[in-house]
Amino acid sequence: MAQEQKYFWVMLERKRFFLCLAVLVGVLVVGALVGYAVPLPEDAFPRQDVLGASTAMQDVRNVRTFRLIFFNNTRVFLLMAVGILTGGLLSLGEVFVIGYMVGVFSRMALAQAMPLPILLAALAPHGVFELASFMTVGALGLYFASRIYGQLKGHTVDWTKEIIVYAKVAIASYVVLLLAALVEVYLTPTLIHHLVT
Amino acid sequence: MAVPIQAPVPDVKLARYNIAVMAYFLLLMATQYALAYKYLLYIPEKWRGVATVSTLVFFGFQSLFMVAVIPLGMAFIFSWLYLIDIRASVKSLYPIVVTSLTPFYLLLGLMIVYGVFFLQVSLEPTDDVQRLSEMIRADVNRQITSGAFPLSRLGSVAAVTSVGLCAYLLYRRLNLRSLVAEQLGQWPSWLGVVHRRLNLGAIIAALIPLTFVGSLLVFQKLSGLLATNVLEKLNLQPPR
Repeated sequence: MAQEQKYFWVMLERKRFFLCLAVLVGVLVVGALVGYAVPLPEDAFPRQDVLGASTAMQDVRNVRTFRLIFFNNTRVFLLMAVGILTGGLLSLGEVFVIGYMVGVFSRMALAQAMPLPILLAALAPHGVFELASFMTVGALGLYFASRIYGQLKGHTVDWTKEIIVYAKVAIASYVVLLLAALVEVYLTPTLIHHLVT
Repeated sequence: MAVPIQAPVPDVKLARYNIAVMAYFLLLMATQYALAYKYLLYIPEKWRGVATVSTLVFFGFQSLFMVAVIPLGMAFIFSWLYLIDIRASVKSLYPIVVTSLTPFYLLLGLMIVYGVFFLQVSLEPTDDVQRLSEMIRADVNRQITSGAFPLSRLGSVAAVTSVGLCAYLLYRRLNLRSLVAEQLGQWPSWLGVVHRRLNLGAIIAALIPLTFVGSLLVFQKLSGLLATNVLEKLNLQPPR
């Protein structure tokens, strides 16, 4: 009898899973490039008062903002989770849209003459956790499709175990999403303020 | 313990169904663009680029969402049959679900014709993007309520036809009548009585797409509630 694996993520076929993750990262990058390449009217974005904005951000570091951000992220997360059932089809679309938004936002921020370090500080600390969470759940969809394809080709898949692993990975990703919201509300504004002042 | 039986696996080439799915996606994109095109012309030139690309990205996502009904439907049918110990193959379900969408191809075709030749948009030109978006929203609402194109009625007809087609294909191609008859010995005896009088296979074939459409409606309703009411009920106002 095969030895019971200690960690649930070991039960995923890692090479296949990382390939799915790589596909999603590729789609995210393409989305971001499309968003960045969109022609924006430069004169429509006056130079932003970064100091004023960072000061204002200090006032919204509270539970209410956290709940709002976490709730919105949860909606995207749930859509990604439903995306598993569609074999990653929804996840691909959603990741493209996320990439597109990041691209457009970055372009707008640079048009407003926002310094690059501040832009990175505004996006990266929470973005890393947030994207990691979304991408992991999204990759599960592509992974699921590839497992069905594998079964059609004659491989044996224990679907009960498979579903349990997916559920555990999704729960772990959701915890990471919680962390992302905490970073976004409590750490990012402080970091930006620190950089500005 | 119930012994599962295998539904027949057809010897079909899936390539033509893959093309049909691609065509469905493109048709969805084309329909949305055909309906939006006349509004996009009113957007001030400097904003038109970003508005067009963003609209296309949104339409692309929306189209993917609608195409996702195919794998979702397959998963739904598979689970339904799994519960009654019938094992259907992906190869048999995929053509059934794709063919069931035929009424929607026709509806989308009609919508493109309407958007290109009959849709009349007349807005007051303005450079104020905020005001323009409000005017577009109001005009779209007016178009819907005026009934110039009976979208909801035609949509309902397409949905009912699609459900009927799906039920028929499930019944015929999976040979549900004989599969159900084979499984009856393992089910409660009253189901045998029902089967002798009413053809249980046909009832199950009809119930599957009906419950799927019901689930989609419930999901739509719930997501609508999530998007609006829950925020208010949790007293989550956007941060100032």
